[in-house]
Amino acid sequence: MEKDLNEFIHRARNGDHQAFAVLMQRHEKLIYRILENMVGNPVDTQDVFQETFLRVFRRLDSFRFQSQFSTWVVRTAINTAIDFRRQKKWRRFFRLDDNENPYDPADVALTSAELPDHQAEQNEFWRLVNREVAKLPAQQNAAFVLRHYEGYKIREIADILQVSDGTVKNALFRAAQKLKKQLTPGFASSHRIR
Amino acid sequence: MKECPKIHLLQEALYGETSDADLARLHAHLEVCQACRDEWESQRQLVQRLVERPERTPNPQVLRLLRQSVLGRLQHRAPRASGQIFSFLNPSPALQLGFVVLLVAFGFILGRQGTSLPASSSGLNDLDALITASRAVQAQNSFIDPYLAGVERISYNPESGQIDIHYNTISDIALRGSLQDASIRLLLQKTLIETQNSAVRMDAIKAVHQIAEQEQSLDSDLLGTLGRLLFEESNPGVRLLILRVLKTLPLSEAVREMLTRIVLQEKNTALRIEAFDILTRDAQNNPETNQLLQAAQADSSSYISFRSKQLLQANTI
Repeated sequence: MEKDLNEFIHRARNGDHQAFAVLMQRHEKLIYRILENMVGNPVDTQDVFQETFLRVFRRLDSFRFQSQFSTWVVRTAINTAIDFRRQKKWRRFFRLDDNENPYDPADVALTSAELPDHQAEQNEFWRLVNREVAKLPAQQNAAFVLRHYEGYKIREIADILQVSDGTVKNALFRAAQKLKKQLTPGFASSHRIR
Repeated sequence: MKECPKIHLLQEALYGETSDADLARLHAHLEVCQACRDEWESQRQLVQRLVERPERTPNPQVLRLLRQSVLGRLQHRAPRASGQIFSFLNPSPALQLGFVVLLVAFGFILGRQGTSLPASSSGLNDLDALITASRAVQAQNSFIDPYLAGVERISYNPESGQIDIHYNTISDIALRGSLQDASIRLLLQKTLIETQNSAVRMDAIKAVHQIAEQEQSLDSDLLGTLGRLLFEESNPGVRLLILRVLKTLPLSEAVREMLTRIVLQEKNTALRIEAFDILTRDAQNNPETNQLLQAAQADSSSYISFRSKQLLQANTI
């Protein structure tokens, strides 16, 4: 399997787009999920997704086969998302981008209206969680998504983010503290339902 | 409030690999520290709750389109090692900073100009390339390399017949043209398929409505896209608008098929009624609709049921 993957990497390095398509196919679901939780809204997610794989292709030469390819692709995706978030912050600062809220409130209202009360409330709760997770500082956000949504181990997250284990633990702890603070009313009510 | 100096014990226990001895030390500490006890409980609750989060699976069709788009962009650009372009700037950080400031200032001025391109301008014939940002386009006196490509806003002026489509790139390009322009139609079609924002999709449908009203027909691509959206769209408002577009068209076989499917299979009563009214506008003395009317007699909507019976009766007389 790994040998197979390396073969595709070598072929993609030599400009074989079909081989690169195979590499994309193997990683696209994971990358899309991670980016969706880091970037927040679908349109931006799709742009960052494309930019991620363009970067991966351009930088294939710098992959040294010392780590897993998927780790390297996830690292590229996270760095691209962080760049995008930074860029978006500056665009907002210069008022080039008025879209402060990445979620469409109309979308939330419509979906809720169509669902039974309990399900709608649950739905709203998870939307709120997603929104608050996307608002976390970049490192906390990345660590949180990798750990809680994708099930990565602390060591793996540290490897992807290129920081120490302690930094990852601290980021996760701080992220949970912030989320808990933001989610307290919804969190409490959703517990009452159950 | 000052944080407990032993908070690191919690971090280790929640996210690290804690030895039995450390765990015993933590529990001993929790016995005496209310703040840490609260923190420990709430963080554990949050982590447990997160396990129940519904899994979100990316839409395979979206992934396929994105893959195609990336591969399309790669066709137009040769692979390049990272940092190659700016390698000459590496020796001097001050020079790098100066260059960045210059670029930001230039980009800011350029962005403020509010570039608007006529649809027929050179470089826009292959609109697909522009939308997927696979190559630069010339706008006024500058070259623009579109980077992001979500359609943000569509405005149509019925008096002038002009339509503006704004989509977000680094330089906020707007494409201006008439509804007759093939590139405008292609962009509308792509908006219907790809744009997530339902308000923008509604604007695109309103523009298609104008085309349908002016020409009393739609090309098969646009009609096919509307048909697909009619059954896949989750927003009932958007679907209702699509039915209004179909209402302006002659009842061709394709249109009739879409409407019949809505009448027979749709759960939303308002949509069924709208489709039923379009299909039966010339039902009187039209035996072709009798089959539909017979099936619609059993509809849960009293309007559809009553009207079906009424029309059937008229047809038999």
